[in-house]
Amino acid sequence: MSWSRIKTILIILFLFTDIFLAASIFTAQKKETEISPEVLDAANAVLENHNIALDKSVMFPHMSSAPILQADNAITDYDAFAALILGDDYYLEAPEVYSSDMGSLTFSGDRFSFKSKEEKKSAQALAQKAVRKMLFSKLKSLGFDMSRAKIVQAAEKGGIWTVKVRDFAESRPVFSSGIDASISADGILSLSGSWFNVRGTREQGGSVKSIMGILIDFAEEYSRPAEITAAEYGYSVFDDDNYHKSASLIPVARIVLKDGTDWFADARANDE
Amino acid sequence: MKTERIKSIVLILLIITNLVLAEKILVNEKLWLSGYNFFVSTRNSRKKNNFSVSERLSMPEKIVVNTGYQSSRFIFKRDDKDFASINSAASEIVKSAFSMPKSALEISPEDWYAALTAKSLYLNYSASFTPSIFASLLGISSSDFPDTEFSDIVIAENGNVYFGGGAAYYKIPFTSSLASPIIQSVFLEHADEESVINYSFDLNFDKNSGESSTVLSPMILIYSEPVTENTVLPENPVTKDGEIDRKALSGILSDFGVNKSSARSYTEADGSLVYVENNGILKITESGILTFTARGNGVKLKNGSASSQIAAFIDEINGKMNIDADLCLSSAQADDSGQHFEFDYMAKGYPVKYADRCAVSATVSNGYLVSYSQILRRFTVTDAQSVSPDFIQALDEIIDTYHGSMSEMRITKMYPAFFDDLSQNELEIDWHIAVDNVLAE
Amino acid sequence: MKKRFMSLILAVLVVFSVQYASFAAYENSIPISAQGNSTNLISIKRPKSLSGSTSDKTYTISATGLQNTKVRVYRLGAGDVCTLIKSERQIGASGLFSTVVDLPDSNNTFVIYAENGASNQVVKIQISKVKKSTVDKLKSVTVNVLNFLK
Repeated sequence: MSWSRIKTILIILFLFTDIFLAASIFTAQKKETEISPEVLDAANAVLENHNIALDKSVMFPHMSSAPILQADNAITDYDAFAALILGDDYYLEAPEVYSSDMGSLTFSGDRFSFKSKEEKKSAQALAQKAVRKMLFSKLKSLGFDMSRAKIVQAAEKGGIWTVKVRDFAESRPVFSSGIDASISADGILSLSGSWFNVRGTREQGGSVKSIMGILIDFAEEYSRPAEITAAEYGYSVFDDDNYHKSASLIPVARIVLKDGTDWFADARANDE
Repeated sequence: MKTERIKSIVLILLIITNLVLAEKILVNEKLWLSGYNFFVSTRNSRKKNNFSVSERLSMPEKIVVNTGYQSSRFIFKRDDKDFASINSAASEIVKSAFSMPKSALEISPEDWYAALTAKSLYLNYSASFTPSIFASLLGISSSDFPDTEFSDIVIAENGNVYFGGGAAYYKIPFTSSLASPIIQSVFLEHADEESVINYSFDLNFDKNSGESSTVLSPMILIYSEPVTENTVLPENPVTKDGEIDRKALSGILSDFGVNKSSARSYTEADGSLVYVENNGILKITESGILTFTARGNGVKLKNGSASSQIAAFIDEINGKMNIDADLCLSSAQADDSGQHFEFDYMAKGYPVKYADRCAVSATVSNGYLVSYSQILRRFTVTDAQSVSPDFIQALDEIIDTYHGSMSEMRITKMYPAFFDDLSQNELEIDWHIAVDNVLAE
Repeated sequence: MKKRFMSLILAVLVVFSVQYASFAAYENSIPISAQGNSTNLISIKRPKSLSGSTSDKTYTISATGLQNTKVRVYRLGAGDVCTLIKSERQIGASGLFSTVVDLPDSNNTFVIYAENGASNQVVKIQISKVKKSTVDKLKSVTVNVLNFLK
């Protein structure tokens, strides 16, 4: 047998093996991304049973697996944050309530709320670009990592801008990192929300529940009629009632209802 | 020859593609058959602990060999080289005696004291047991035993087994030839030594005839000399450079139902690390205190009796955390909410005591671990020596701190022990004194 | 005048020194005939009846007493003099006292001297050494008697 013939045989052998391996990887991945029609129908049936309607425009997001992100609370501790926002002459008015000439600051778990004492004088509105610049530089000065942050909502009325900033990680929104601000030409009138600075380190994570599964779980728990207008995946600390110095951000699903409320569910699939 | 060259190149490319695709499958767990991971199983092998809780569950805290003379009584601690052989003979006798149904007869305290004054082996347990819990620790079944709690067992020279705890005393008539040779050999081996140890009842310190003095529980061992022992250095295996070392803890997470790669964790303001999972909350503080509280059922334990389940669980945790310390069962109680166990670390054969908690405490209910708490510590014996205060001097000092009436004060327990205040400073031998019915300062 | 004054001072000195002398006199030995002026400073717990027998090499004497009472232990030797075998110890807050004494003879007499302020107490204790078999017989008799009396 010549070497040439052997090579030909080996090429054919490896070709078949490669095709086989590629096909199994492809079909396995495809299985995860698609929602088969049967599953869709079954899910719709369950939702109907619980009087949960799905708005026609709802897009079903897909997330097969997600890493667990590690993040540090931008509020390292209440006193330090108070000094940054209110100045060094802040004083404690009540538990978790700080004050100074600049304004008042309240904390609740990971969340904070700041109101400036300055009164809005000018009715003239700033340009959105200027608003973004002012807000981002202010938040940066407070220790917030704005490198992946985006303005998700902005509206102006009577000279006051109402803006919502959100952080993003792995191209998904981080629901625990969101700030609502109202800004005028005189400066920042109020800030509220919470923020976590995502670290480079992360855990491998695992698989994520399908959106249909999450919607079904929601329908079973939310025992009254509702209409779902949006569903999306994102990250969250998933517990902002208590203060956390640092926390892992887990994948969650956010369900938005027509009445404006939004609900969050742990989207990690239990591997056990 | 151009075709041959092309063929060679194609073959090499196909081989490389083959390797890449195969690697993708090997690494991506989801493409495997039913969850097997060869690499994971080799990672999980751990060191074997020298002190297996499972094997030492029914071991007494110490054994006193009574030779019939008060000037030669010898205390054998769990770390003494002769303890194992004495204990194995004693436990054989005890197991056989407790396997005999309807055999326990109630006796008077005087008969109990007589047994201790004569040649006998005294097994002193940290915990107090009901006969049924004790039997389950020994792995035997016992029936028709009196409803009593005991923490002391005495084996007479002829094999009779006595058990009692202060409230009542019982005798199981039994014959065995194992006890006598042990007592004899200990007596001969230490014939030149003087080891004066009195029981409180020997000195009548357990009775108060109207005097203004402290009353000591009858079984308290009164040492005539201070205790000398090496100092012990505790180490917190959880922190590194002042912060919690997650890597050190990663091995035990799965034991508490925490999936390491998709765990939800927080660091609290005081630096404690908290893992929140569906089956429970696991918290580790910077001082090395681990607590697990179940939500719902808890952690499923391997088959067996509750005591063997918890012993195996502790051995697993200690093995992974590289904690090679003796743990002595100090409490075993059962009630409607489950079975509760407590353990003390032992260093050089003496218990290590903590201010408001014990080294390990756990509750098991229907085969599930419902709550668990452990002070994670490693102990190293140093070359330095420490000497305890004199017995009565130590007693005087503790009584001095109480301002109640002497007639209401009773010492229920007193024995040599180490005290760990969690500061990781060297521990010196001292006295553990338990006072009952005291008016607070 | 001077004479009277001097004799007054002397008398005062004598009174004071007597107080100390009584204690100093028993520093290393005490006569077997010594008596105390009190009986409630210490109470001997073992041996209960102030006499005991043992086959042991040593004997542990136990007692309870008032806090701050100073205690010394002497053993009767040749003549009627008891020599100090255990130097002074003070009873603390627990009120407990115990000491281990050697038994060199078959009959040993010990004197416990206790002092608290101006009060003092002397207790004599007899410990005899017996063969082990005799002790066991004595013990079994005691146990049987107690059972009978119940």
